[in-house]
Amino acid sequence: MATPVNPSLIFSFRFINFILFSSSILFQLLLFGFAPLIALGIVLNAPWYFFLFLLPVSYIYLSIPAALSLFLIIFLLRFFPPKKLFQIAGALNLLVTGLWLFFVFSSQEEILTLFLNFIAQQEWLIKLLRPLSKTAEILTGLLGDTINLGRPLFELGIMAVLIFFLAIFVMQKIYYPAFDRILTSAHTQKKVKNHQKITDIPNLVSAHWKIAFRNYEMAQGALGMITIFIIYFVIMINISLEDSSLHSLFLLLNLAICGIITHLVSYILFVPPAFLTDKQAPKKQFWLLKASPLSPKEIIRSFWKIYFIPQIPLGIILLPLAHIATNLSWALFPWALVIFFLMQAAITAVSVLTVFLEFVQTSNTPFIQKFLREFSPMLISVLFLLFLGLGQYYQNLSFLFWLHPLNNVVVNTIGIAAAIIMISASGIKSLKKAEEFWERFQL
Amino acid sequence: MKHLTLLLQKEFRVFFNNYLQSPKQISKTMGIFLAVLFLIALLVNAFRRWFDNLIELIAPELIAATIPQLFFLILSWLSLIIFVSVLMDCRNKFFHTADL
Repeated sequence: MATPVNPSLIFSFRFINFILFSSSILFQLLLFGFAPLIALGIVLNAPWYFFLFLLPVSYIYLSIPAALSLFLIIFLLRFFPPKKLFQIAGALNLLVTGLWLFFVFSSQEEILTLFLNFIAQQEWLIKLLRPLSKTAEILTGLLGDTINLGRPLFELGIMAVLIFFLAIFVMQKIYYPAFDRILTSAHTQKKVKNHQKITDIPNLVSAHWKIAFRNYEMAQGALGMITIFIIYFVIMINISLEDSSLHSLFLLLNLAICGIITHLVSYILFVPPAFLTDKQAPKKQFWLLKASPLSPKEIIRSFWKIYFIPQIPLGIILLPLAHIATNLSWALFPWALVIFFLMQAAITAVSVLTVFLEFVQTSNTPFIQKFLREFSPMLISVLFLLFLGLGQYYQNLSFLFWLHPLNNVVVNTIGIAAAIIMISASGIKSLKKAEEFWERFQL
Repeated sequence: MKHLTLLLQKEFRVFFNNYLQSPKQISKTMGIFLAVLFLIALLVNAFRRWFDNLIELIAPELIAATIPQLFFLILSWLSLIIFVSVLMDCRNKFFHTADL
């Protein structure tokens, strides 16, 4: 705002930049636009120019809902606080994405044919939504009909340009004056609250989670992880599990999926994007804690609690859902719960260690070493589950090992013992190592 | 216009400096590109099967009439998703200088 550049120029630059390069727009366009449209083109034997025109037509078309959404946010920000709006939009995003994935991946073609019939009856209503009907007209025309493409293309382009200029106008008239007023107003100074003493664990956890949720980019990532679980749930609910010998395999798969998603959802929020680029970021985040008179043991234990405690409700929600989707016996559930929390407790300790390993990471650290550090919690959980499942599938895998003459029960016992020893040792050792790194950390 | 060109130049310079100067970054970018291509192929294949099933449910004489409705369906859902995701992303991408 301090630059002599016209604000509307900055806005147009940001808008174009946002539509062309925003990772979320690209991802949504790929998943919900290009993929179904290309597939439909292939199914209907569309000519080559259909695929060529898809990219420009989709970009022109999507600039219209994007600009409309900007209008709406400018008006809504006058009535709702930004934080509330972000939460509502996040929930809506998840709902719309989840519904689409549900319809596509769970083969709900019957419901969709009913929906298509409904669209056919209400076609006049859709014709009123000009950009939508024009884009559909262009795409149908590209399939080889004799429709003249010039007119709908021209109309769509005009509408996109009009809405774009309207957005600039609204920005100039509403957004920037309000922003100026806020900058110059004396009433905007934030009241400084008296900080409450954080004495107990629930307060500590909730305080850190409040801070973590302000990390919007990572919060979106966390929501994305939940979407992966929804996809898994929908796929599993459609697989009928007749063969009982596969039950333990599905139990292990449930544990792996729920474990990794729960871990990532809770961990990803605490990694600021600055950590990836700024080498000084860990120091900036932890200097105050380092200067405090707390012992390394207390600090590391608190970090472990901050990461682990929120995983309890998340695991209690996700694990039964996965259990229902795979249609497993409920007699197995208490075991699944015990294994899950043992695994999560240990890999949380490992992830605490990976946070503190950032202090010793230099630009010379080899890529493979960095990769192993980041993925070590997942590798440990997978190894743990493999050991647990070893006895179950030993008969099928025995040809691989020299252990062939061993009894199944013996292999099972060895596998379970190895799994428990490995996971407990890695958890305890990680906490000790993290304490060591904390002590070595220099301000 | 001069300012806009300057802004664009700066953006591209940052892009080239950050991403294309080192061979490691180039290989990373290529890796991401290949992963995205693989993802597209996977998704297209999944949707193809889905559309095949859908078209089987529609009477053959009605298929031609249903095509525009299929486009309506895909595009309206796409616009709904873009609309909601812009609503969610605005805070970071547009308004991080201001907190109205």
